Order: sequence, then structure tokens, then C-alpha cells
Amino acid sequence: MDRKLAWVGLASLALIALAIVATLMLGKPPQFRGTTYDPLVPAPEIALKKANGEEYRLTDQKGKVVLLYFGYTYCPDICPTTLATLKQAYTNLGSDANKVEIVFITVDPDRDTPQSMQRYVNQFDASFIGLSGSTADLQPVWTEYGIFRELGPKDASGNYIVSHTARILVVDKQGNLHLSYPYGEQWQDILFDLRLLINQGGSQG
Amino acid sequence: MKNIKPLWRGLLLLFIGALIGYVIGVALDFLVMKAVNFSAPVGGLFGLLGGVSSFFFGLIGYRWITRGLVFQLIGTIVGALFVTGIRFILGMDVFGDFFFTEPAWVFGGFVGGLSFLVGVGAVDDWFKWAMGEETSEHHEEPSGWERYFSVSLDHKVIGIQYTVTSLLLISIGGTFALIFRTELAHSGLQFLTTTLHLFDQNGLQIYNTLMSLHGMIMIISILIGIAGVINYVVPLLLGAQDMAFPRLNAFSYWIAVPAAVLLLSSLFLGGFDTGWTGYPPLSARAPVGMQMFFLGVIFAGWSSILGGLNVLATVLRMRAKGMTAFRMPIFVWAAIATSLISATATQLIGLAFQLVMFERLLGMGFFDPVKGGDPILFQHLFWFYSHPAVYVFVLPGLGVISELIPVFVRKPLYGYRWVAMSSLGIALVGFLVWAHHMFASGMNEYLRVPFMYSTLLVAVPTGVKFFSWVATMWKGKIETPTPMLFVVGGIVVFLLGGLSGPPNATVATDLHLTDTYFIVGHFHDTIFGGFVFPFFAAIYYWFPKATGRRMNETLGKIHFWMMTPSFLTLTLLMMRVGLIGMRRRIADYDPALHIDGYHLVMTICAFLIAASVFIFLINFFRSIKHGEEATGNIWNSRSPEWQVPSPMPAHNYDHPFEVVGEPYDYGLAGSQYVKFVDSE
Amino acid sequence: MASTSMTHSQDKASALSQGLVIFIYLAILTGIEFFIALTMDSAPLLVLVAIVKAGLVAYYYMHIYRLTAVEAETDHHSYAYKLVSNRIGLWLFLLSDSFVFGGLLTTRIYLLGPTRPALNQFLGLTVTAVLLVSSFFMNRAETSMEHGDRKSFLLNATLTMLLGVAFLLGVVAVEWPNAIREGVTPASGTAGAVFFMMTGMHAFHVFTGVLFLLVVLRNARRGLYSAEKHWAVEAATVYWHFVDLVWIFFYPALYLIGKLIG
Repeated sequence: MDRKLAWVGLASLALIALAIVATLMLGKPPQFRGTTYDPLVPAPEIALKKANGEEYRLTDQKGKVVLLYFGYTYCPDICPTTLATLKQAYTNLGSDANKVEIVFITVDPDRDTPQSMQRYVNQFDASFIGLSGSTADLQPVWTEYGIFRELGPKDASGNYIVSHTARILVVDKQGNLHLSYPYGEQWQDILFDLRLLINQGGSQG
Repeated sequence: MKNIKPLWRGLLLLFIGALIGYVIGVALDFLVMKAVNFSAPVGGLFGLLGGVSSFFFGLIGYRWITRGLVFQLIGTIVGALFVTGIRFILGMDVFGDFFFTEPAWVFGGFVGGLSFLVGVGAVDDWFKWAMGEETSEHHEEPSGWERYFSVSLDHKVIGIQYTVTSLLLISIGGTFALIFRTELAHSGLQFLTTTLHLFDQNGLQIYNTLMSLHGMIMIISILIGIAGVINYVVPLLLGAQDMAFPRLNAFSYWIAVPAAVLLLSSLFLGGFDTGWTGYPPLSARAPVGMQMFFLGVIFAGWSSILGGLNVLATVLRMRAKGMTAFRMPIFVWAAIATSLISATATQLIGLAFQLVMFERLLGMGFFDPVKGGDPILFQHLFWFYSHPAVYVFVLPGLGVISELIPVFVRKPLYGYRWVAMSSLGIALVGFLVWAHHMFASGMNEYLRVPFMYSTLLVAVPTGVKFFSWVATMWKGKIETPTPMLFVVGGIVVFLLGGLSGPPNATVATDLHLTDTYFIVGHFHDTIFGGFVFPFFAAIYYWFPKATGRRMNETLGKIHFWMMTPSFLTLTLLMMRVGLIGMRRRIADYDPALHIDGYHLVMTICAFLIAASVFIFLINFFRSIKHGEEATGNIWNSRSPEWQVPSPMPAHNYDHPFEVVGEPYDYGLAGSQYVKFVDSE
Repeated sequence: MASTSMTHSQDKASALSQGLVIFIYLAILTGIEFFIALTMDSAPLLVLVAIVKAGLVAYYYMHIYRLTAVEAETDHHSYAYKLVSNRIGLWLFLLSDSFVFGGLLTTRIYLLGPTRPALNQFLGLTVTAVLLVSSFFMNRAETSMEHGDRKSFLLNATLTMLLGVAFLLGVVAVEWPNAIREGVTPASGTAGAVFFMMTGMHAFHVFTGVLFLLVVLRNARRGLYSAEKHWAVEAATVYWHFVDLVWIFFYPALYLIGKLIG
């Protein structure tokens, strides 16, 4: 065989082998794309009524990745777009979807019942969970999770806007607050992180 | 008299053909829709194609372009019926809002365009090659004026075909502009009202369609116009007998003709309301006319791609002996820069439009957020061509300016190498600036600043050109025959266009200026300065080379002195009303802006420009036969094409020449640029 | 006469063996590519392998170096002079065409990012292999024609064309219906849209390549090409390899790079 040709073949293989070694050595383990809690903190308990009357306790959900999002059903913009983003990430999980739970908790208990919250999230995906309760039940949750809320002035028909924290919070399989995302995160990034969290065995990330 | 007779015959048949086509169309529409609709789209379309084909039938009989148009008409119908038949078998809707369904129109339009090329004979030789038959180097061509309506392989004939087609399209696009400019002369709706009903569109829809078509028809006419000048001049400047690929050259021209027909047919198929940019989601919802627009642009795009490819191969392979890179005429450098862009980036506007086309036909969700798509992607693909495209428009014009100034000031071109490189520089930087059209589109904000700076960078190579022009003219013996007038006018207008650019390139000011009339004023300045003025200069300058007669100087000067002040007034007022708050692309405006007076002046200016171009057209066509004879080197140029008598012989130079000196050494005693081989 | 045919046959043997070696390299690289995708999921590595493969095809199968082969001929009407012009024209066309494919890749990266559609891996690898083998035979066909062996040219070019048809059927008649059954349709979402547009545009190019080969085969049968004059054969060859080169990038972009979605 032609000598030059042999060199070309060897050089190609060597180049690729070198690149493979470099990738293996220099390649970092995949990093989360969301903001990581450092150190991880155990997620404060949430105990609220679901639409069917059962109680939802966050501590019962260990083994699942739980995404918490706070909003309200009269929300004009941020809540529906965020839920749509979550829906896209959720759908694209495919068969892993049953390992993930998406929970929408109200910041406006005066207008949102557990039933209306569930009806609202059903429009995105029936497996999403909508939660509400009395202001007294919710206040500790908001405080523990650092959720800011402020009721706006009422208009002529009695409606009002609620300003609220718009971050998505992620609780990992061990029940720790692990990640959070600002408003406007791409669904692909959320999907990427969810896959990592699902496949993570140990307690450290 | 002999030539006038067929023209009258053609015009007579034009009306008869259009009428018959229209009646057949309306009758067909009646058979399907069971209602008489005088503005039926198919009637308008058949009227257009029937009229144009009949005109050429009267002019030259059933051959060449007539045959092409008839083939296109039949091809369109056959293609549309084919799809309709399949839909019938599959049990889908057979007829749609515009007679045929949308897929039927798209396939019909596509087949029609290709049929034109078969009918006109632009692919005859390639078929022969495929069948293994011999083709002769020298084509059998009709002689005289008739050859301009047939497939000729001579680059000079093709150059003139391009130029005349460009002038025709400029007239059509200009007429559209006059129509909607008249509507804008006063606030409120004058005649394009909601009660008007034409081609299934109301007055406002007609406004949108005309405004959008004005944009794209002008763009195509510019592409065709620069192709005309490049085709005619570049082989002469290089000392070549023809382009590198004469058949491809003919094909590139002839594919632009069905493109123009397709574009115009969109007017009859419901029109479209997106402007020339065709942004989805609007373009994904517009009537079928949108698809004809896409098809037309894709066809015209291929003309530009193949033409550019041909120019590059020609410059690489067909130069005369001794013509090294930096002894090439400066216009050739401009042609290279322009062709590099058009041969490559054009594919992306074609792709962007194809993606919308398939989104409409098959529900593919490229730009549909509901399906996960993103309309911003379209804008990236679209502007990746459409911004460099403006350099395609202006670079040849700037090349003409650099080429002509030394001739008329009798001095060497200042900084030849810098000017040559500046053309390539503009082309190169032009590939990196596209997103400055998207500052307000919602693309990632961090992209804004780099694109702002890359855009401002374009000013550097452009500035090189301005310095060269001014320095060349400095202390020169300036003569001002008509071509030079247009060169100087072009410089002034392009300067205005250039200076009004940075405010749009700077993010902070652009967010205020975007989509206002300021932008309209800005780009009309750049396009007139970079293309229209130099194009007229080139025509006045090389007209004697093509015909052996020169155009009338007095009419030329009237043309210039009528057009220039009107145009400057028009664009400066456009910028003024833009700053006051006039949006672009709208049919009406708020009288509270107090800009009615400005708009009236702008409309008057538009009509003055149209009148001056009309004078030019009369001068152009009259001078072909009756112009003053000019067979020698009337501009006293050093360029090789002027060293032989006009009109240019059939195969260009009877004796090849050799380059022995610098191209622009005007005023240097004893210097010589080219030497003909036999003169030794 | 005898001696020239001797040198020819020697050249031909080494040229053919070169084509075979390059084919083996490409096959090995494709295997490595698939292995990387299975084990490491590293997009930069896959891109690197694709670039190496494309380089081999462009140099050894498409003979890009012939562009710089300037002949002494100065007569613009001679066959030799026109041949070089034609090569430049063809490569400029390919450059232009590659902007279409580049635009499609951009669309894919922009819309799908680090994900990829759910496609049948076995079918993907099969059609890739078919196209690669067709390129091997195309190279043999051209080499045969360069050495005036018309019979071998006809055989190898016919095989190339048949493999091209097999590729077309594999994509259009097997992979497309399969994807649609799996729920990836043109209208199902961006993944489906990108998949059908990319494979559709590529299949259209393969189709034109098949037509080109048909014309060349017919004319070769009638003896229109010789070892000295066979520009049409060279053009068809370069075009065919170009279409293969495009697939070298499209295959990993659609089947290997990114996380599975859906």
C-alpha cells in the first residue's frame, strides 16, 4: 500500500484518538444549567389540600423530582408562559415523566381554590398538581420558600394583579432544594437538568 | 417603419390577448364557483399571461420568448391540474379560494417557470449534450433586433437583454410606487379605500400588495440591472471573447423572466401584505399570492447565483495576457466582490422562503411557536442574504463610479489597490452585520452590541472609496458630460445614504428609528446613490459602445437636473417625516402629525422623478436608431474596449491585446495600458 | 503502445487500491463515529470525525487538488483549458449549494439544539453504509474511465446508481413511513419538520445525481467518453461524492448528536 496513504490513515486515527483522550480527561461532568443551592438545604415541608380533598405533603414525594412554581390563576402573563415552558420540558422527558412532579401553588388564595388551581393546570397537563388553601396555611410556605407577594389595587370590576416571585424551584429525589430558575429559562435547559437529577443516585450533585 | 409595424401589431394583440385571457379566466371561475366574479384571480392571471404572450406574438411571431411564455402558461395549468387531479383522487378539496388550491398553484407556478425555460430554448443545448449530440460553438441566431428576444449566447446581447429587462421592471415597480405614493399625498384614504374591490382585494390590501411588490420588483430589477452592466462590460474589460460559460449565462438571464412573471402574478392571487421581507408568522397566513412571491424570488435567486458564479469563473479564467490581479480594471474588482456574495449567500433567502413555503404546504413548524418553531430563525436566515444583498446592489455601482472618475478628470485613480481591496472588504464585513436589522425583533440582547460595531465597521472600507474619489477629482480637469453628472450625483446621494446609516446601526437610536420613514429615506439614498445613479451613468457611458451612437446630451442633462433635486427633496423629507413619527408600510397617517404638506411635496417629487426617467427612456430608445453617430473613443478612455471601433464586433476583439501598463495612468505621458498584438 | 498500456494498468491498479483503502478508512471512521455516539455523546468529537471523513472524501474521491492544476495551454478554446474552467465552475456551484445545506444545519441547531429526533438507528446506519459503498463504486468507475476501461466503468457506475436508488428508497420508502408511524411527521413539531426537510433536500440531490449518472451511463455505452475526454464523467463523480459529503454531516446531525426527545 502507498506509504503516504498509510500515513494519512494513521494520522486521522491518531488525531481522533487524541481528541477522545482529551475529551475523557478534560471533559467535566455535566453541569447544571440552573442556579444551584450551595449547600443543598432540605426543602421546607408543604402540606396543602389537593382538588380531590387529599392532602399533599412534600415529604411524601421523596424519590421524585418536584418542580415548585408559585403563581395564581388570574395571572395575565408570566404564569401561563412558565407553565407552558414546564409543559414542554415535561413532555420531552418521555418515559421519565413519571419521575417528575410539577406543582403549582397559589399566591392568591382569596380567588384560587384547590379545584380552580387544578382546573387551571389541567389546561397544560393533567398530571400537573395545583394546590391552594387558606392564607393561614399558605403564609408559612411562602415565608419558608422566600416567596414575595403583593396584591395590587383593585380595578372597577374588583380584579387585581398580584406581584410575586417568578422563580421555578426544584426539589431533588432526596427532598433537598437543589436548583432554581429565573423567569424565561429555556425548556431545553430545564429538561437537561431534570435528566441529570433523575439519573443522580447519590445525595450530592 | 419596418420595425414600428410589429410593435403596433404587438400592442394591438396585447389588448386582445389580455381580454380573451381575462374572459376565459372569469368563465372558468364561473364554472367552478357558480357565481360571476369580475375580479376573479384566475381571470387576472390569464389576462396577464395571455396579454404578454400575445404582445410578443405580434412582435416576433410564435418563437423564442413568445414560445416560452405560452409554455409557461400551459405548464402552469398542467402542473396545477396535475395536483388538482391527485387531490380529487384522494378525496381532498379540489378548488380553493383562488380557483385552484394552494398546493396546485405552487406546483403549477413551479412547473410553469421551468416550462418557460424549455419553451424559450434556454436548455436546448444541455438536452443535446445529455443525449450525446454535438452542439456548435457558434449558435444560429437571428440577426438584428429580433435576436434580443431569442436565446443568444453572446454576452453583449445578454447584457443588453438584462439592462432592458431591468429598465422595464424599474418602470413597473416605479408605477406601483406612484400609485401608493399618490394615496399617501394626503392623510385619510383617497382612492385605495375599503370599498374598492380588485382581484379579490380591497383598497388597503391592494396598497399592501403594491408596496410589497414595489420592494421586491425593484430589488430584482437591480439584480438584473447590475447583471446587465457586468455581463456587457466585464468580458470587454478582461479582453475575453465571452463569459466562461455562455450557455449558463443565457440560462441565468432567461430564468429571470419567468421569475418576473411569477412575482407579478402574486398581484392577482390575493396579493400579500408582508412587505418585501416576507416575515412569518404573517407570511405563513397571507393569501396564495405569497407563494407566487416566494417562487418568483427563488427563480430570480437562481439567476443571481448562476450569474455570480459565471462572473467569478470568467475573471479567474478569461483574462488577457499580462492582466495580473492589480492591473485589472477597478470595476472587475467590484464585480468579483458582488459575485462572491450573490453566488453564495443568495441560497439562504431561497432556503428561508422555501421553509415558509413548506410550513404553509405541509404544516412544518419551523417558524410556528405552537409547534416549537421560532420566527426569529427566519429573520436570521433571511438577513444573512438580504443584508449582503444591498452590497450586491451598490458595489458594482461604486465600481462604475471609480471606473469613470479617472476618465472624466484625466487623473490616475487615487489608491487603486486600496479601492480594489475596499470592495472585497465591504463584501466580507457585509457577511457579519445581518442582525442589525433585528435590534427590535426580540433576538438575544447580547447580540446587539457586536452587530452594532460590525455594522459601523462597514464605514471604513466605504470611507476608503470616498477618499479615493475626492482625491482623484482633486485638482483634476473635470469634464461634466452626462455620465460624469450621474457619477457626481451618485457620490452625493450615496454620501447622504451613508451618513444616515450610523443612526440606524447604533442600537440606542435605532430602537427609535426602526420601521419609520427615516429608514425608508436612508435606504432609498443608498440604493439610488449606489445603484440608480451609477446605472444611468453606465448606460450613458457605454451606450455608444453597444450601438455606435450616443444618447442625446441635452435630454440627458434634463434627466439629471430634473431627477437629482427631486430625489434629494424626496428622501430628505422621508427622513424628516420619519423623525416626526411616520411609520413605514402604512396606507394612512394621523393628520395631527402635521405632515400632510411634506407628503404632498414628496408625491410631487416622485412624479418628477418618474417624468425624468420617462425622458431617459425616450432618449434611450430613440438614440438606438437616431442618436448622433459615435464610433470612436468619444470619452478618450484608456480602457481596452474603447480602443476598437463601436459598435463592438460580434466576437469582441479581432486581435487579442496584452496588458503592458497600469489601467488608470491618465495624464502620464507615454504610458500605455493595453497593446494589441498585431500592432507590434 | 504496449508499454503505455502497461503503465496505465499499473497506475490503474494503484489508483483502485487507493480508492479501496480510503473506503476502508471511511468505514472505520463511521464505526468509530457510531461508537463515540453510543458511549461518549460528545458533539465536538462527532464533528471532528465528520470533518476528517469529509477531508478524505474531498481530497481522494473528489480530487479537490485538481483545481490548482494549471495547464500550460493558453488557447481558451482548447479542451484542456475549458476542462479547468469547468472544474472551477462546478466547485463554485458546490460552494453555493453547500450554503443551502449549511442553512439547514443552522436551522437544525437553532431549533433542536442539544436534542435529536427519535429515529430508527438501524435504518440510519444502513442508508449511511449504502451511500458510502456507492461512493466507493463511483470512485472505481471514474478510475476505470480515466484509464480507458469502459466495461469496468459501466459496471461500477451502474452499481453506484443502483445503490443510489437503494439509498433513496431507504430514506423515502422505509425511513419516512417508519418515522411517521413513530409519530415524527412533517407537521408534528420542529423535530419532524427539520428531519423531513433535511432528508428531503438531501434525497432530492441524490435523485438528481442518479439522473446525472443515467445520462452519463447512456452516453458512455455509446462510446462518447475516452480516457482523455470525459468531463461529464468527472462532473457526475464529483457531484456524487459531494452529495455523500453532505450526508457525512447530516447523518450525525440527525441521528447521533444530542439527547433523544419524544
